[in-house]
Amino acid sequence: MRRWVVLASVLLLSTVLTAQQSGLTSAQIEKPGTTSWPTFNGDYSGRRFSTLTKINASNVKHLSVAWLYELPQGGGTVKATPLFVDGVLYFSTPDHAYAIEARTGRELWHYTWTRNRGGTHIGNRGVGIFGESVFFLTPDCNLVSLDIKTGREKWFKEFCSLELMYFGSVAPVVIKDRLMVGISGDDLDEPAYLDARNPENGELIWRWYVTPQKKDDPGIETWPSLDMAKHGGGMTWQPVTYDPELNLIYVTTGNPQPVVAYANRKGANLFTASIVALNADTGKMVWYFQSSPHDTHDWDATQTPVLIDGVINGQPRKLLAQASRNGKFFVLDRTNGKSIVSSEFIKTNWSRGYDEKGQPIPNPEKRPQIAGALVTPDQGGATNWYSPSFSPQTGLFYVNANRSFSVWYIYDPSDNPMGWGGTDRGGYSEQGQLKAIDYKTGQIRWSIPRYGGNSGLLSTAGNVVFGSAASGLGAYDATTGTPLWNSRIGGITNGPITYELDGKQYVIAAAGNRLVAFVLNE
Amino acid sequence: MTITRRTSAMVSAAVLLTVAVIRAQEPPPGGRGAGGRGAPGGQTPSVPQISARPPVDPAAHDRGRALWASQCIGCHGSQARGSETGPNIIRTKTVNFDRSSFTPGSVLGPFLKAGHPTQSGKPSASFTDEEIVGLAHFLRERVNDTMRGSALFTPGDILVGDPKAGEAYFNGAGGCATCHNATARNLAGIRTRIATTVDLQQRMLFPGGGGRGRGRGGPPAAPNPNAVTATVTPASGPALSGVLVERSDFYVTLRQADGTIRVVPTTGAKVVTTNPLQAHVDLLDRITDKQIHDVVAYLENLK
Repeated sequence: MRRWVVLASVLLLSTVLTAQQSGLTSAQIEKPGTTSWPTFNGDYSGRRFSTLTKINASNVKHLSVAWLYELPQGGGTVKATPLFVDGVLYFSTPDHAYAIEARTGRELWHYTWTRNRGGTHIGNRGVGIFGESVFFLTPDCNLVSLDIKTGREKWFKEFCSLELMYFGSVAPVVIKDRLMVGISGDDLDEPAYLDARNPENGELIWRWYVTPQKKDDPGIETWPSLDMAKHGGGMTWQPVTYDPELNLIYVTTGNPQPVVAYANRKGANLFTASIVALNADTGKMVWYFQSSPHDTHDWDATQTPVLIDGVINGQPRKLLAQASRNGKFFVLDRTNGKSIVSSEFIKTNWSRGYDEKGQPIPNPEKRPQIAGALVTPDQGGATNWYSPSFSPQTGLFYVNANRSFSVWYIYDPSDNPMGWGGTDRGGYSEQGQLKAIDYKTGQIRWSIPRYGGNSGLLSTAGNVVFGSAASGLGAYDATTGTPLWNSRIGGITNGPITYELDGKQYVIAAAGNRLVAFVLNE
Repeated sequence: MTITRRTSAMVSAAVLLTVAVIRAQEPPPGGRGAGGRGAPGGQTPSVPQISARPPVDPAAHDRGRALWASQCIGCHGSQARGSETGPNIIRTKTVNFDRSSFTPGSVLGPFLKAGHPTQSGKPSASFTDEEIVGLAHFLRERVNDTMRGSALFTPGDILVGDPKAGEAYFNGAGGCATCHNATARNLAGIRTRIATTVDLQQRMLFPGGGGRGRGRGGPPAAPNPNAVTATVTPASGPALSGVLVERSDFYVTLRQADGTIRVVPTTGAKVVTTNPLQAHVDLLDRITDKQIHDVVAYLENLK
């Protein structure tokens, strides 16, 4: 009898192990090869760099369309970065997830979230994949798990309250055996958080609140009251990056609430508009750096925290770089958050130098005013959600940048504004630029006119940067910025990716309701 | 090679008068950029949708306001944003789950029926259903007030500048009188032709709406004197000029004087663009907020 029990236990255990190891594993996500793009940024570093060289600066002009997939009628815009696993592309739009065969562009399945109760349908940044499941967030605050082969719904779990005007848009990121789930929304003054959730059932494992929720929480001294801190916003719009060696998750946080009127939130308003390192196991904060102290211009600091293993003054360093929406470029030591570079990647007019931590010091005169304050950048920012890229080959950090002006008004002059309480109007934008920044100094190595819209970027070991061009996708020499190739497939609406399949290198980009695959003519 | 040249001679009288295509004046309802709330186009939601701004019945709201004034205002304040003696309830679950419900009062009602202090001492459990529905509508409106696009989401007093100082700047350091004077591009009475003072301020700073999106779409009904123009001089052959429709990495697209579209390769060519409004653009890095407000105060009553 005992032998049978043991044997049954062994069989059961092996079944469990098999179940856990089938499909995409955390090890494969941590060290992806060139034949997959298994997480939002391709890998955990956020650098969106591929070692592939089949497509390179010499031959990129021969790229041609392999296939084109169009969303069903009324399907909206693809803003997601697709994931590529085992010959299939997976992506999402609000309320929808898709699986597309990567050789032909044939749709394998299309899932629709039919329970949608509303919410902001502004966009969806993509899916997460772990094991045999595809995960995505819905505008009405649900985390949905789908069977990767069929698109059949496995389960769903509410992770925020639509009634409190939160919504889901962020691509979940799998770290170890957990889903990192960020949150969106900035209409009602509510607190933001990052959740670690169980991929088996969506249950909460830990939650890190961006702003203090209890009277003794760190950062409470930067708010006038616990009540304001508890409603202080700081949405976690951007998928996180992660250093497995340090076991640190890097989360970037949004602007404080109320957004524009600030009379009732004197102080730095930690940990909004910040780069924060969390222990991956516990969700406890290890260090922070505030990119926009006491932000009053909707400049969330949720631009990708890119991890760079670089060299500073001859010493190998673990670094983190961010081109922030407020126009500043920061390089930090990612072990401790200490500043190495604080500079501007566009000319701004809102700050007065940097404090001892390297954080910008806001000029109080450039806060919104009842009669208006002329500020650059505008609300859209010097950059925004669109992913930057870093090439370890060139040592350059690439960012799509804007220099824009607008006038910032306080609409609610009371001492207790709520919501936004003001906004910006206008204005003027200079020609957009694609900029290459030397991470060691913050100096702009080159800057070229960007005639396309705001897209994410991809750099490759083929010495190419892919990004938006006029009405389409463009390729640029990664060393010099020289334009190499354009394809007018429509304005790019996501971040391009690349991978190898059947010995060919593919480049994938979304243009509105289309997903387009490029390969070399052979 | 691209050169942006300031050509003040081309500044038109219509600089401040033309209805310029100004980039989004307000953020779109419901969020950033394109999109918005509700289901994607072409699809009918299968379940009732929670509105970002639920409807408010004015009569019920007014009834609720009366009850609020007699029972609630002392603690929660006139706007439900709290006072020294009571909390802000704009962000609470009770208020917002009720606001999101399809039956106003369905969350607030049970909360009040369970007992809540009132100003007069009247038991909240004794509130009638009609009173609770009224309070629910009143509170919906208070939350709606905080939303972008609400009736309260409007500019305040823009006229804070010194018109004398504005006049001095206009005629002096600002360089405005170089183009706008008694004989050319006269701005007398400008405010009477612009709806509001804040529009005047915006128009002064951003008469052209900036570089993004220029020239897209079909040809304009009438020539735009403020349009950016370009001249392309190829390595060999004659130069071509026209309104700049689009620039790309490899081509310039022009609308020529006869209305035809011409796409010109830029490899090896010299491209010169001219923005008739460049003087306004140059001002953006120079002018202070005080100078802006002063000039607006000057223009407000310019006869």
